[in-house]
Amino acid sequence: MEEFNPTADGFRAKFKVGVSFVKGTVQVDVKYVEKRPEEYAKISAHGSGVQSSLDVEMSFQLEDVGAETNVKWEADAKVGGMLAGVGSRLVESAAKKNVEQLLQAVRGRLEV
Amino acid sequence: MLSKMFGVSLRRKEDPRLITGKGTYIDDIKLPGMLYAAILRSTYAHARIRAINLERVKRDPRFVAAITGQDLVKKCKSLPVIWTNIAGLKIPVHNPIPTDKVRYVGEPVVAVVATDRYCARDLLDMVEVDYEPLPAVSDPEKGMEKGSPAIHEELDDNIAYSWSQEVGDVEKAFSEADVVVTARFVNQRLAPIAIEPRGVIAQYEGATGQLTLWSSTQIPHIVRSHIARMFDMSEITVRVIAPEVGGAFGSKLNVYAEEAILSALAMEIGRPVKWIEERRENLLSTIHGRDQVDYIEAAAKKDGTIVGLKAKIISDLGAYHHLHTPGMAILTALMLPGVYRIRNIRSQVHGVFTNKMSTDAYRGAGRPEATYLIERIVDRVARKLNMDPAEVRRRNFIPPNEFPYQTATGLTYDSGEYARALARALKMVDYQGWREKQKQLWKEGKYVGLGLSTYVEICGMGPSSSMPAGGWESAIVRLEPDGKILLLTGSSPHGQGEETTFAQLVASELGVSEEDVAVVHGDTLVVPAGIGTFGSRTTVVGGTAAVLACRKLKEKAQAIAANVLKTDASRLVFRDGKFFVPDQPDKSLTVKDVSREAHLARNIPKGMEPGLVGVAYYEPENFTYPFGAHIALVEVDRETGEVKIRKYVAVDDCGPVINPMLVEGQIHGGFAQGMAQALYEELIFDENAQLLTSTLMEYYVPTACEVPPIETDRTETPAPNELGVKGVGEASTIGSTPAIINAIEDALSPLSVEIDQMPAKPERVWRSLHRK
Repeated sequence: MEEFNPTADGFRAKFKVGVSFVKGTVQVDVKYVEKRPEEYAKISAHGSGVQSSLDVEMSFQLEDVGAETNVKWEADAKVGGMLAGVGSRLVESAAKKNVEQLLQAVRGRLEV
Repeated sequence: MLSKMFGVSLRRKEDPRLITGKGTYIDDIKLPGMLYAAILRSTYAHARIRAINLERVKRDPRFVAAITGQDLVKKCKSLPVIWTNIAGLKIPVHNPIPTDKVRYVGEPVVAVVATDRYCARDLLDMVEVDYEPLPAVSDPEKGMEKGSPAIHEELDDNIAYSWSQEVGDVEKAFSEADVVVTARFVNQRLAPIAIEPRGVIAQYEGATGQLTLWSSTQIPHIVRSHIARMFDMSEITVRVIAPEVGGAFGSKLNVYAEEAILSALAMEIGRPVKWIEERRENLLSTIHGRDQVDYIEAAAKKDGTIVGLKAKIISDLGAYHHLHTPGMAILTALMLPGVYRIRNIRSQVHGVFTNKMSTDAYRGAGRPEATYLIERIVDRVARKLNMDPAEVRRRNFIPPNEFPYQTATGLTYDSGEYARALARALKMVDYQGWREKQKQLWKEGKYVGLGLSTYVEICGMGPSSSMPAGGWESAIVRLEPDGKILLLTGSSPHGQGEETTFAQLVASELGVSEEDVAVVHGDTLVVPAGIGTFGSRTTVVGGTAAVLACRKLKEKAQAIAANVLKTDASRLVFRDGKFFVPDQPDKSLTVKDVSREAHLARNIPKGMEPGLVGVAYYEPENFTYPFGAHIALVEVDRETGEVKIRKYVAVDDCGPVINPMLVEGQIHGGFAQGMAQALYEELIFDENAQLLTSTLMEYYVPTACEVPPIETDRTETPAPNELGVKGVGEASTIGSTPAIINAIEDALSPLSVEIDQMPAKPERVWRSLHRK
């Protein structure tokens, strides 16, 4: 991540990406569409850069499983432009990896 | 050496410069002070443009200029569509850069100019475009439905036109038929893929108001007319030059947004600006070809006679009309009966807008689709009747004594001898032998099949009454004082080798060596008028114009020769490059001698103007209709779905042949592209109309490794025109695709597997094999 700036209802960030030979900077605007603390969150994100566009709707559902919390997540991503062509088959695995990294980071913070 | 008009395989005059890297393509042109443009293209198939932020770009020291749709619309009119003689055709505005919303991925949004190409490209990454994504139409059949997203809000729906034709008594033919065969075939969307992508340089001289445009185009004169119209300029102040053009296949038979964008930029900046298309831009934003969903029904008698056809053709037009977009599927409908005597035909054509780049003329342009439809359904009729497909074809061929033949769809086929071409092809491939062997091979689990395709196509694009922008061609033949000959042709060849063919025509007509003939084309200032090179018309129309110009020149030359030889012009004979009096062989003058006399002008008939120039505009009376028979022998691997072409024969008839080597080249190249449609190439869009095959890693263009050797032969049925020639540029592309698919279906007939979708790539064939 190169930049991170909170906005009224979310944040704006700049990422360096590299999927296949598509490399460059992507600007992403994230909005919280719905927030129910300790239960549910839904965000929408719109990204552009590297001659591509990315529109994502993503939701996180938290479930108590005994002492642990299960995080169920779903994402619907529409990829456009260069990434749709060259990276469409790679985007799904890249997205999964990133979300898992994110959740691992959250877990890391919580478990400290 | 004196040249002969027909049957001489002269080596290409073009090649020494091209194969030694000395040809001047557009990217080789460098002008003083030249700047470079790059174009930011839409990443959405359908989205409203809310805002474009150029602040960061403008702050960059490398920035020179930028132009958006809002800027350009003030200076420039809509891009042209010229095939408009379709009742009720809806023509939406097609700005070179849209002002309100983008309608396909790859549509220009902003053009940025910088001091070099790489800087211009880098600047694009700093442009911020705020889009409001809209639902996109990817599938034309869904696009026709009520409630489908509106691509052009000003229109009622996405159906640009519906055209129909009913001839004969279709209902009676179907009700009296013994069998009716129905099918849904898809002619997938293809990219023409010229080796040289498109490119434009625009230069504007403010003092004279002269705009010069170098463009990699097939039609410099048509581009000139439309650029002048779009910018409200006089055609006198617009010059278009097509330098070496590295292939086109119809993809450069257009007036493109970039030609207008670069013109506007050059006029604004006052310095020359260059843009060269990247391959990804080429796949996204150069016209696509084919893309039809076709429903066809054929009614036949037990003896194989086909008595009626019904067709519904859904043509995916893309988001806008380009130059000929609406007409492609109409050509399909008109050519539907192919080489057969079918008198009862109902066809409906629907042209549908989708959120994709426009489809337009790609090698064959509507005729490959027609040939595919009829040739595939004829094979299905044969299978249904348990008859040999060669026999069904023979029973239905238009016989030679019926030419000129008026088709039910209203065309007049000039000449043809279809059974002869088929007989030759059957013999070459050893058809009977393979039919016997096939039964044994099937028993051994080897799926070998024979596929036939007997095609006819419409070529020699003219006369003007049937063409959207003139069907003639011009030629000026000028004898220089040293006796060398200059031909200025309005044709615009771009790889076909017509500098050679035309030199051969002129040299043989004037009895000189083809080395003494220079052919100049592709510059609207040098060549006063022209239509261009497309639709296998160049030799038929442009070549004939060149010959007629020579004949006019010869009339004057004869008068000068007679004056010099002090004899009556009517006594002179012209042979082997000399004017002579038959019984006085010492009284002769060569063309070179006459040229000198014409320029010295001391010994020309009284009152005659000096100089020796022949000018001709040739307007053909009819199209030409080349034809042929192609046969593929394929083997399908049942385990992998892979198709191998084991033998391929092509017998083509384009009338008398001027340069057999060049004709052979067209057959081989055409076959490669037709085979590519059958087995390899397809532009794939997802449900959001995003192009998934936007580089040559995903779009599979066959190479020398995939193209098998083919055997070729010709029959020769002259066209009833001046030279008898018919054209050959598209023939083999048209003939080959159905031959290969028919062969695959024949190979798999013991398993009752049908192929409805191309390309027949291993995965698709394997799935068809395992569908049950």
